[in-house]
Amino acid sequence: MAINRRTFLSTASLSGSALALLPGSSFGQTPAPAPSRAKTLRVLAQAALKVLDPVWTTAAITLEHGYLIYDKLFERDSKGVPQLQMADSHTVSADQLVHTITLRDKLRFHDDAPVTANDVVKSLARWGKRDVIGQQLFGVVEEMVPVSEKVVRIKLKAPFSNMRLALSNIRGNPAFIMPATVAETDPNTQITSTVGSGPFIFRRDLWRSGSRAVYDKSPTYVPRSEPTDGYSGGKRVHFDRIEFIYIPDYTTALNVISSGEADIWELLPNDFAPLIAKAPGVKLAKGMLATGLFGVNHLYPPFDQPKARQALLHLIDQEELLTTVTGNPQFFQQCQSFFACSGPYGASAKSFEAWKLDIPKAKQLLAEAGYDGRKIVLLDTTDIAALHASSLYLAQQLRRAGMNVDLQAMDWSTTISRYPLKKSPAEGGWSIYSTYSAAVEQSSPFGHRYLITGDNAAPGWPIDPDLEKLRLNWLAATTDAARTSLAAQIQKRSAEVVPFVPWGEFYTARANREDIKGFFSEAPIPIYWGIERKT
Amino acid sequence: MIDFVIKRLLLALPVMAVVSFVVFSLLLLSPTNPAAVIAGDYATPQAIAEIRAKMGFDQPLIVQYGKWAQQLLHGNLGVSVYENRPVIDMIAERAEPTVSLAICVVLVTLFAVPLGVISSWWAGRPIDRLVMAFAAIGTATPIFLFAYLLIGLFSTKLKLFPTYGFTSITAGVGPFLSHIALPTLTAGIAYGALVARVSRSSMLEVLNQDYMRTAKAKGLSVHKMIFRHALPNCAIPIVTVIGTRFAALLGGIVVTETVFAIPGIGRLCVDAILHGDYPVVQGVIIVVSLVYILVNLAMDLIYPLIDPRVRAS
Repeated sequence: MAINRRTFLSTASLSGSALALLPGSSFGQTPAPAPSRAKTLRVLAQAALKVLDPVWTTAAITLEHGYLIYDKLFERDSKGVPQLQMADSHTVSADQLVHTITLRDKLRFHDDAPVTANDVVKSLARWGKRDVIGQQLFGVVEEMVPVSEKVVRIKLKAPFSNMRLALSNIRGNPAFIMPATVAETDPNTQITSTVGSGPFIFRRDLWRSGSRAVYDKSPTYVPRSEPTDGYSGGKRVHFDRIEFIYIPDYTTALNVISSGEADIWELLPNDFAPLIAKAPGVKLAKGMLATGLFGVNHLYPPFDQPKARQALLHLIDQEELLTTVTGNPQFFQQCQSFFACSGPYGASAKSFEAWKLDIPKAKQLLAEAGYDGRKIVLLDTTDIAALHASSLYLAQQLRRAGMNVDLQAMDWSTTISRYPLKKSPAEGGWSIYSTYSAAVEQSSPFGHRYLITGDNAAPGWPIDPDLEKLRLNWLAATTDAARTSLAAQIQKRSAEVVPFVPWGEFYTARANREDIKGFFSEAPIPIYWGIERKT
Repeated sequence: MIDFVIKRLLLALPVMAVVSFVVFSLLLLSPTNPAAVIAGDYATPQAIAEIRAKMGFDQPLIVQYGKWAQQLLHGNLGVSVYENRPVIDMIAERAEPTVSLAICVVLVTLFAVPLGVISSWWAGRPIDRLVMAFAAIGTATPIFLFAYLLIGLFSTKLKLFPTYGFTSITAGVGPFLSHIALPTLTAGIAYGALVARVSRSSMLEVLNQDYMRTAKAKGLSVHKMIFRHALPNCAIPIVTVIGTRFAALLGGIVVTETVFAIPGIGRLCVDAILHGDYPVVQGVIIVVSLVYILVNLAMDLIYPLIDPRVRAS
């Protein structure tokens, strides 16, 4: 049949409608029966889940995925103390060189296979090749073998008193236990399996990368008998399903939680806190306690000189800066310490004279360091509000001290592409960048990457053999008294060499509907067991 | 006709080659290092260098492009360096929301044609001013503002529509329409305003022609004047605008997708750029370029059906 003008015009609009109503066979998705809204916890996620391997990436959303579907040998309680989780017992030989870990009963993977000592050995081996703390542990492991179906023996070359801390680490790459066949994957290659032994099962069929991830309660998971305490204790699940929704636009997310379409908002900008306070039925909650810091490039003038780095300490009024970042005094605390003030060694900051805002003194220190007016390249990460605000603050203070500042705006991906570069600031390198990490990571020399100096130092590359020796001595110390003394010495030495510039502690912001109870909002990585809906 | 189509498709090949090479070069010149993004913020320079070498990012631009072009010729758009999934699968997964939204927006936009016609027929009258006020507001107001206003009214206050997300039509027409309604209206206002303006100006031009005055003088009915004589003669600019807008919508409508959390092609491309996921960006650009070319081709085929003069020429 020939198509003429009239038949074309008369059918054009109909064809559009028909296209819209066609069954989406070629690009459709099959709906799955869903639990009721009351039995579904809907979470506005901080990012879209795209990578499923929590040993391959340190992205927080992937770690959340890991905490839902996997389990660990040890988990931290709300005070940060490691407790038995998959482990039923953990014994250490008198010479502290042999650790024996026995798995508890009824541990099963989602495919119904039992969790065995071999799974543990293979999982830890892969983790140890990727994670910073795992690498520290495996640096002293002589042998790790399954002794029986449920018993693992770890033989060490030297005592490692932080075994439980290492295996219960929350951030970085946590030591999740996976099936041996999965854990045999090259650590630099992403795993594709999602079979774990945790309290939730990942619904791959409902996963829409970039927008939605769904987890159902695992029918085979048997929680410990103890009450839930932080990450530890019984991981009891009160919802049949958790849906993670990623909404990139904050205003839409605010509307979604206000209208009750979601129960928890994981990460909102701190300046949305006043809006949340006005939203009916929604409660503002303190999130992860974070420690802010400026990384300083020790390789190039003027910050290759300790006095120039000390000058930076006198350019910061933490109250001003943290107010800029959070806008709410309840969401920050000043912390003039190289350890998190919320940790056991924050108080040892008193062992040296606290610094304060003093522009003339900063100018004097810069002059003594031989600052010649050269350009200071400050990396300004504009897509993370706290980093952008702190960068703008520092730029202003540097200028007040007479420094020539080149404030370079970029997104976080570009920042992390730039800061590993050891080039000079004039050749595409950098002088200073702002960042923050979970305070729990900076609570002691264990896992505090910014205190490492020498070859393994974080970008900024501080070099100070004395500080490194103190840090290694702390890691090898076996008594609390020795650790406390060494931590105080580390504080004192850090104030002299300034490996980085701390700018205080602040809470990220979260929100939840008022009918949600048991949400551990301050968890560095949000967890979703122990949460209930009030009826 | 077939010769014409084949010729146009062959001409598209060099266009796509140029587009892909320019985009490839721009991406590699950008300061984001995908190896650093993959390795994470705790990575050592050595780890980043290893990933860079493993992914082949340390090779010269032309070598990288050559490899990519070679696999493209085999129908392979590559694998996402971040998600470790075939790019073609990722695009296919995001196509449904974007195609659905594009079709719905075009359907809504069609309502703007009669608005433009009415406006031109009563040019200078209150109804014309009203339509042109709508067109001015629709054109001048940012899309995200419409989105927030519609969400505030219809989702938060009246609770008539969900605030976010997309539901496939396979889950039922009702859920599909309730999710797509506000995004469609948001984008539809902006595009409809443009179509209304174009329709009005095209129609005014035709209405001022001698043959239209003759038709009026002969006492032809308004219905016949508009639908038989005026509309077909001013259809080409309208179809052109709608067609090019449709092609643009198929490339992803980033603001609308972002505000309504629709996992479409626009968001895929933006996220890939932020992660330095070059194969995904390249794949999206290639597919979108192809869509543009095909839509333009379709419009060229439609013109003769609308206007006999084009057919004759």
